[in-house]
Amino acid sequence: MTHTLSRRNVLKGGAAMAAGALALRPPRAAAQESVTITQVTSSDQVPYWQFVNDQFKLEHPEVKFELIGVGYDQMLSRIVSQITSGAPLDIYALDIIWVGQFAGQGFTLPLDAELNAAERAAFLPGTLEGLQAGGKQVALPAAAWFKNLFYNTELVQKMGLTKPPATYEALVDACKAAEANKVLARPTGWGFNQSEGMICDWTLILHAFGGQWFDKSGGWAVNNDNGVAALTYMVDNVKNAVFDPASTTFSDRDVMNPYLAGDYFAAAGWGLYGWSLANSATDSKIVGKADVGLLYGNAAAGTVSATCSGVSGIAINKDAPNKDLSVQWIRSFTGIGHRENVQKAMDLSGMPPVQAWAWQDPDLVGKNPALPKLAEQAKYMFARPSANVARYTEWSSMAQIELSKALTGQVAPKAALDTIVANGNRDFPGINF
Amino acid sequence: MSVAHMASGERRPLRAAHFPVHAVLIAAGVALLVLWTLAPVYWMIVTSISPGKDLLTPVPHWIPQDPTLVRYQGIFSSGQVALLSGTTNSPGMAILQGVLHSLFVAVATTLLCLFFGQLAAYAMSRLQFRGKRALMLSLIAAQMLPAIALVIPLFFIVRTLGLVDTPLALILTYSGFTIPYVVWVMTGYLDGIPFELEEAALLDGCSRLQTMVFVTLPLAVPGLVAVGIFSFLIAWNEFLYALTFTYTSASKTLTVVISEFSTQFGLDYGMVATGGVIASVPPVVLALFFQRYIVSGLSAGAVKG
Amino acid sequence: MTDILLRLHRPVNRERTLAAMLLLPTLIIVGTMVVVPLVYAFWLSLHDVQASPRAERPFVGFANYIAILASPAFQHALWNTAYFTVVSLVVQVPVGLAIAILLDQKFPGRGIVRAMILIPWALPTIVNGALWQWIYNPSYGALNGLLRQLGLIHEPVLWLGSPIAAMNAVIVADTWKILPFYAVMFLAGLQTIPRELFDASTVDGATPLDKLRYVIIPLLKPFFLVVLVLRTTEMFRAFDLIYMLTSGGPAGGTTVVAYYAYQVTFQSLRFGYGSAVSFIIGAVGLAFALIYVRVIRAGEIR
Repeated sequence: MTHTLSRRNVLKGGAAMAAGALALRPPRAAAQESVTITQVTSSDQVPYWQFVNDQFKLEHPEVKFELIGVGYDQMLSRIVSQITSGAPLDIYALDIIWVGQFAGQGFTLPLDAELNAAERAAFLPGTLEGLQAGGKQVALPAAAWFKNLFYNTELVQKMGLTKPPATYEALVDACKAAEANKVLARPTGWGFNQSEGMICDWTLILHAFGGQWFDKSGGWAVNNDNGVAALTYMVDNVKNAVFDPASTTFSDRDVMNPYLAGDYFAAAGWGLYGWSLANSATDSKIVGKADVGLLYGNAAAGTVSATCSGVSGIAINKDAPNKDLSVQWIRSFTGIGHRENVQKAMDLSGMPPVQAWAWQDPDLVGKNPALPKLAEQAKYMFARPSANVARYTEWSSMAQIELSKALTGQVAPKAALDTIVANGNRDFPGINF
Repeated sequence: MSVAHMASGERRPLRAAHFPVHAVLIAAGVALLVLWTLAPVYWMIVTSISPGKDLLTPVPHWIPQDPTLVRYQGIFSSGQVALLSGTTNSPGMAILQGVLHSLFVAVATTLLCLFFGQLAAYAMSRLQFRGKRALMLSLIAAQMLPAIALVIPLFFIVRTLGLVDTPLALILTYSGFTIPYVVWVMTGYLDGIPFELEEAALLDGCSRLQTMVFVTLPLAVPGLVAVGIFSFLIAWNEFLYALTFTYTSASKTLTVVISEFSTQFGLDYGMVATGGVIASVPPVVLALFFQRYIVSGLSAGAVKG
Repeated sequence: MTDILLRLHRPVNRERTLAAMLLLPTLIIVGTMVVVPLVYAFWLSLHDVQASPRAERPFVGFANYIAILASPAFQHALWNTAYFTVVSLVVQVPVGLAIAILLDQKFPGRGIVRAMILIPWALPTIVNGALWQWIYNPSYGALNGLLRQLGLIHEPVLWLGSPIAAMNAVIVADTWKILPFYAVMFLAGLQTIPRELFDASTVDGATPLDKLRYVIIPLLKPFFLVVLVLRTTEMFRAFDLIYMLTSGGPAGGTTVVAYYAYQVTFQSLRFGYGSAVSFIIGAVGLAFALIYVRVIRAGEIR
């Protein structure tokens, strides 16, 4: 008796659970001719893509968008989960560091055919190239990020200078003088903690010192004389407290804090983001004193400047359910671009323009006076080796650990670089030359 | 004021004579515990209501000089707000929806785990059947794998069940990982409760189910509250599965919403702190509400028997 | 005697049916949400799996496992995990027990304090990681700020500046968050100890230390076992905190095995290899659990 009763109850419970399951599912749209484009992007870019998508819907009323925004650090696992499990995905944000990896995995639809010569020429130099791997256009640029030197005009004057030092050699002299004269305790610092940001700062210092990722035969070359000079410079000046010793614990965002507090005379930061941060009434103590200059060059290597590219792009999934529509969509906003869209990208999501003309356009410059100064730096753009290594993020993790060992004094700079080269030649051969 | 002071001053010797030494120790221990627990929480609250630039001082302003609720306003109103990077996407109502989703998921997971877990624990503790020990060990052994390993396989299952982007996906996932512990702890707990009361009920002609509900269950309340808190907070805190299985405003949980405060350029400590303050409110309110049941010793009298 | 009575009262096969029914929901949920994905993950670990759904997935046997065990990066991560686990447990178990005993005493406001100490546990781990990163900030963090104000330091201390310092900083952050868990579990355990035992031991002239040694610790054995197993597996699975607080640095000094598994799975997209790492972690965790069972000899967990 009890027996059957309970069995019936169990069944009832099961039915209730199933009903609950159905109730919790989002209501599926009734079968009609609408199509849904699934797009994954970082949360801070969501407002801009919403704007773009709304524009697209005016011409394609049958299209709906499922716009998924995730934190930047979570984008990779979100996109990969979606692709690997065969879940629908049409359009997604592709960061420059995934270019080689995604091309190698066959995650993307090549977009070379979608651009004509005029459209190609309109892009800010370096942005389009940064998103190529294996001779294919893996993604189209959406936000032209690169690092700039931000400095504090008042502190530069106090240091007895008229503008920030032009070379890394002069930087050391200026810092030592400022410390000796008690102008500043820690005149500047870097983002040298174990993270991707460290590779960015290494990229721009390495290239200023005349170093390069690969030699002519495609072997890793970061341990040549220039490479060793660059890392030795980083290690020695942190160790000797010419640069802030806390650099080894700072991400490339943390290092902006002392600059915003007026404790550093300068710091390297990401373009428009750094600029709006420095001029933010709530976050900055140096409003009105912030200016933009060129990142340092190296007198010994004869370089003027070097920066690191962080361009972020938009890619189409190779297995996109709505391939044709996605291609139409990507065509609708790329190319030479419209002033309204460029302004919206900056206003809504703080995205720096990918079109070269936008940085000099009188209307846009009127609203964003820093644009031409920021753009100067784009002439000295270098990329991390993400297009030349099939598993860049893994290489990067390995390199971060070795650099971090050197910066925390556990191994000599040369030894760290030798390890990076040995591991690189064994596990991460250069591709796409 | 001075009268009260004098009065207490007069009483003091009397009290001291009556107070055993360990009362002083208890007071000191509690004070230390409260300080250790609340100091970082206090700092989180200060961070959430200070303008970014006021946080950039070598010696912090322990009491904010220029407190602002702008981050909370941004959270409780929709539309764009000015964050660190000038203008950023406002989380809008997302964080409130996140709180609701997290609450729903955590409460449902807790109830599911307690209900089914208690049933299973009763069987493990009170009923005779073979392979009990092996069953318990395999339930526990299955929990050893890091969450990372099961993300992709589980995502397949969740998709197969048609539960992508629903709270139910998380409720079932969390239950799968939490029930075994509930069963384990409650089995141990029931083993600690003498069988005599139930035996008496059985001999009086109660059925197994009646005994289970009316005799065993009340005795198990302190244990259930402990594993209930455990289940709730496992679900409340979880991040990796939530990130993978939920991604629109239909189901995103609080941890996922908070993770969006980290951008390409780093963490916005102010916003994360704000999210943290909001995230700690519901569990603490629940805890205060249920505080007399948190190991209330309800059963202590009964267990004696 | 009891046993005979009970057996007379209900036939064994009926009891078995009831047991099966009571266990069924648990088995269904655990089977679907844990065992099935686990089997699938094991299949992955025996194959060379690329992320692309179109790619070939050749069977490689235990090659992934052999490669991992030989990998210096994994060995380093395993060592970091061992340090993390041992130091955490050595600190957290006694302090957690002390807190539970403290909260078991009668004092005014006890209910409020019991609820309040849950706050750190209720804070999502990702927030906890960010919060402590901010507290440890060398220039503007609360910790250096306090020490500076007290005149104890003049130069900023780099709490995350060396591998060992960073690991200890991680342990402090973890301890702050998780002590309430110990407190709640042990407090529940203390309720199962009959008050008479305490009273009797007091009459016998036992010191508080004697009570701890001869009453509390022996009777809490099952709870120690649960807490040790749970926390050890949790630490072998620790990911969120490292992910937010240190990203495994500096110099790989806080890369624990679960973070390593995350890196190879989601950064390198080597799903087979990543699954194999996870199974090795699981095996080590299980070995620990069995050792605890042996040591505590609470064979009666049944």
